[in-house]
Amino acid sequence: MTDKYTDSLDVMLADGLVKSPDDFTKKVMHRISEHADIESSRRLTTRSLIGDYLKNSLWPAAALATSAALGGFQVIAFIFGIWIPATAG
Amino acid sequence: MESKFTSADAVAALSTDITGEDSQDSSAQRFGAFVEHYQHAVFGFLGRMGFSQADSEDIAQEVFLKAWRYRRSYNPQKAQPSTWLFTIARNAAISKFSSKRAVEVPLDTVDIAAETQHQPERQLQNEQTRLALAKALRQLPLDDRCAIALFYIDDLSSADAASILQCKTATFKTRLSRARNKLKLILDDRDEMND
Repeated sequence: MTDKYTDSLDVMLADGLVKSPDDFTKKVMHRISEHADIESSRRLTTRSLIGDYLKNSLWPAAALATSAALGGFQVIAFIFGIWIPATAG
Repeated sequence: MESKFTSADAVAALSTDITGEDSQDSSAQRFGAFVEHYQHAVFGFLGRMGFSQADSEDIAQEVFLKAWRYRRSYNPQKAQPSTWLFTIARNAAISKFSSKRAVEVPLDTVDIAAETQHQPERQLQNEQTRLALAKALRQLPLDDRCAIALFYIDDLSSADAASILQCKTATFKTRLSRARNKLKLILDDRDEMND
């Protein structure tokens, strides 16, 4: 679209009214690296939180499984306790 | 010898995949070249949209940060890198306007004579004309301003500009012609008032 600059107004508009500073690319790349650092630390934090959660949740999970097994055993024992006198007559 | 930045380079800068530390460095390097190539066009666009130098810098940084963040969503089959980038730029500009936080340089209060007293006469005249043009652009409706701002970007065709504005090419051309006429009228009125 360079063949459109027909008059002085076109030239001025094409020239631009604001200019990019010399260190603009540097500034953008600095912000990008900051952003990347934040993202990677966020990922690390999420990973360590999940790791901690798994570690911390191991003992409660084991206790829950043991309690469930004991509860199940008690229910079976109760049923068995009723069944024996019933079959004995 | 410096090689020319091509559209393929722009696509490569947007479609890199980070798999390790080295590739992240080269990805950033490619994106740096992308920023270097498009920054002048983005600043030109924002200036024609009527933003001050300071606002343009803030918005341009946001535009390139967004481009970096969402580069994986860029689809080379759908659009040119420039079309994709200027869609982000246009949305960022509109968002800045609608947030009502766009701090426009109060041109009426700018003491041009004081600021440019040590400049040669021709330079002073150019600066006055530039400020008058910026003021005239700000008087245009947003759609008209967008049309003018996109038209002067060398990497964009009228069809690309129309797709950014989500209208037909013919509509874009009509809007552009109307906007340029309005701009000329505003500038002519100003000249008559000065005479």
